[in-house]
Amino acid sequence: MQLFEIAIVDDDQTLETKYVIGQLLDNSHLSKVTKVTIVDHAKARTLMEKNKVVATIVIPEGFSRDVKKGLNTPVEVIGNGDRPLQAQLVRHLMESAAKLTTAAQSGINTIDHFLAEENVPDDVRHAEFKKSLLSFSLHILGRGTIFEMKEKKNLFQQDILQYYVLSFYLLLIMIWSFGFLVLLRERINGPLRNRLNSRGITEWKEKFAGFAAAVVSVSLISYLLSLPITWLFGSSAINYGNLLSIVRIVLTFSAFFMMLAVFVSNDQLFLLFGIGLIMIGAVAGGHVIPVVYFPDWLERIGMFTINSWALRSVFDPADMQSIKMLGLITISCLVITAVYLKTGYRRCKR
Amino acid sequence: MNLSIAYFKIREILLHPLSLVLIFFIPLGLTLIVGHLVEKGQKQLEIPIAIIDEDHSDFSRLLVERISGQAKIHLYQVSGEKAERMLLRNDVDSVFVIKKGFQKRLLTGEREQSIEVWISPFSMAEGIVREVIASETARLTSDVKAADWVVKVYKSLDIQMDSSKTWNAAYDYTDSQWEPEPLMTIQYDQLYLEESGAGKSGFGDSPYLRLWTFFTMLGCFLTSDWIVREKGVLFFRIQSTYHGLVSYLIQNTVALFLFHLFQTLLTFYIFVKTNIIQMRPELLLLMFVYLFVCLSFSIWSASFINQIGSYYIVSFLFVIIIGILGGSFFPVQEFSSTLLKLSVIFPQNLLLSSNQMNIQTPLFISGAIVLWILAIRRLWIKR
Repeated sequence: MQLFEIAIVDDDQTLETKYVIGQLLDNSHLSKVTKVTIVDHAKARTLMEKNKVVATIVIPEGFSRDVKKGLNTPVEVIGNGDRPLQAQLVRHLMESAAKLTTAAQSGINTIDHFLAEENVPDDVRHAEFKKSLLSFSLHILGRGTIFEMKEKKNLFQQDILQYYVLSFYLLLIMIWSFGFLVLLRERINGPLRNRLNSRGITEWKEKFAGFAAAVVSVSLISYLLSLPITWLFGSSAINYGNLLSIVRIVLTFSAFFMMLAVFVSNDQLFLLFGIGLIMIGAVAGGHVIPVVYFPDWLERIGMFTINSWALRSVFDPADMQSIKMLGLITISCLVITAVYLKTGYRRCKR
Repeated sequence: MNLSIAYFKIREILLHPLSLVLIFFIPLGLTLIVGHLVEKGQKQLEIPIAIIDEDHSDFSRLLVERISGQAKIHLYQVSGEKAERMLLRNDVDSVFVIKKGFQKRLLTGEREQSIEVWISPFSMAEGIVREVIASETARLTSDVKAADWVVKVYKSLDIQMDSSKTWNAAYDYTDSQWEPEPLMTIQYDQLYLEESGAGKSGFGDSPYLRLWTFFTMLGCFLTSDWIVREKGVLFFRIQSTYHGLVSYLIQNTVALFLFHLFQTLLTFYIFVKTNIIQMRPELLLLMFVYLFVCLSFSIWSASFINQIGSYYIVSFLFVIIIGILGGSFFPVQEFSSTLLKLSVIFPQNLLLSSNQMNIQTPLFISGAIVLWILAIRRLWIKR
């Protein structure tokens, strides 16, 4: 993600707001991707108009005074609608930052309140206030120290970049399998089919020959494309086990699209269904966002796509469930196609 | 002017249900169906995390309870072994272990490394989750710190008190400031450039509008296949007729454009009625321009290709690639500055970005007219 800018307008200009800004900015996650500028309203508006900032944070006048009294005066976060993803990221991080500020300020307020209750002189209260402000701010800034990080991985586990490379690779296999059959459809027109029929080459044989050609060609292209991926990520990305699973996946996709081609005779509809199924498979199968982040209903839809099983198979070639499922889908598609073509042939003969 | 060809084309489309499906159902129906699913899915996306409570104390239970109440986080409370298995199988984004002695350490002010975070190379969102957990832990530690501080200051000022009671009172007072709402909250608004007073025309980020740009382009390409089908057979004969080939091409494309125009109007009406977009005439105008550009592109592409299968493959790849790069599926421009600069050349930018009315719209219209003329000229010469 590119580095993006955030504008902060401090209308309150107090010691507390300076600490609040410090707390907002001290976020390793945010500082990796953002650049923060403290500006006035006019400049913030100009930056927003020029699409230079992702969000403007406005700390309102009287913010510190109200917070001390326990009154909530919301900090305004204006996200740039033209950059919705980045604006949402700022929103989520600001929500956490607001909680951190509340944690610090509630502590500071408590100390001041208890001293006031005991009629402690103003100079002592003021000194304690300044001390607590600094101490609680530092306390919040050091929030990261509560965590102890540990990275765990297994042999076949992929990182997120590897995930997306393999996921896109799989999507390409799907598109090739479909595209091959689209190109094949136009080669055999009505008159040619009649001539082939007269020589004993039935539609049944013609379709399965096309299927075999698609499997061989797409497997070969897929293998060639796997070479740069292996070179980039090492053999953990695509090894011999994966190559076998890729052939299985090509078989499944080709069988599925062949079945679709047999059922849908209109070229436009075939293309439409093909694109639709590729899109559904890409989204629900987890090519765009990994399935693990899906809500339950979408995950359930994903289970019905070939893509989700294919992804599982390519990431874990030994996963028996995906092997069985891909095999089952392939055999089902081939049997349905064969039965449909056979019965259709008999119908024609009658 | 004799418009019999246009009339014939309109009649032909009306008599063929498939043509109507391609013109109306693809852009409008699919946009509404897929848009609804995308919107619903986006709202319900959650970050799955596992949490292991090794402390089983009041503080750890409170922390788990507060985290489980967070929107966008799906919490699995499991044992250590199961959590590790879930992490390695990518079933969760990250694992948080509340270590034994968590409460004791927080009460003594030694919060360092009291929560263990397990991440895998697959973890995407642990940074955001860590901030959420840090803020909830900070609530507990600040309560403790404030209570300690009050007792300590009272002692240094020789104020008579029951240490335990004062500590508890200060702790409760600090925590009470989170109710009914925290001291600081944010008020989030999404601003579109038009609202910033610059007189520009951003139309918001709606998955429906994004998807409409994709499905409309797809619909235009699919309905322009008649050029590929007819150019080898019919165009030779048409040139010898009274109307001539140019008139035939123009009238047919205009008839097709009229149908798509009607689809656009219908889409705009439904979008406005369902509050997907606001009633803005300039948006409707830009939708028309976008449609015109898509149709010109499809006709121009069709003029180059002789095989119908090749045309479909080219259309499919073109629409998908332009759809991805132009931002029909998600705002890719946010991922890199190069894509942001590149986005101005994609027609989707007319609807999905701001500041297009001034500069790019006339350029796109001119470009589309040029493509249209080039396509007709090419088909006329190639006859």
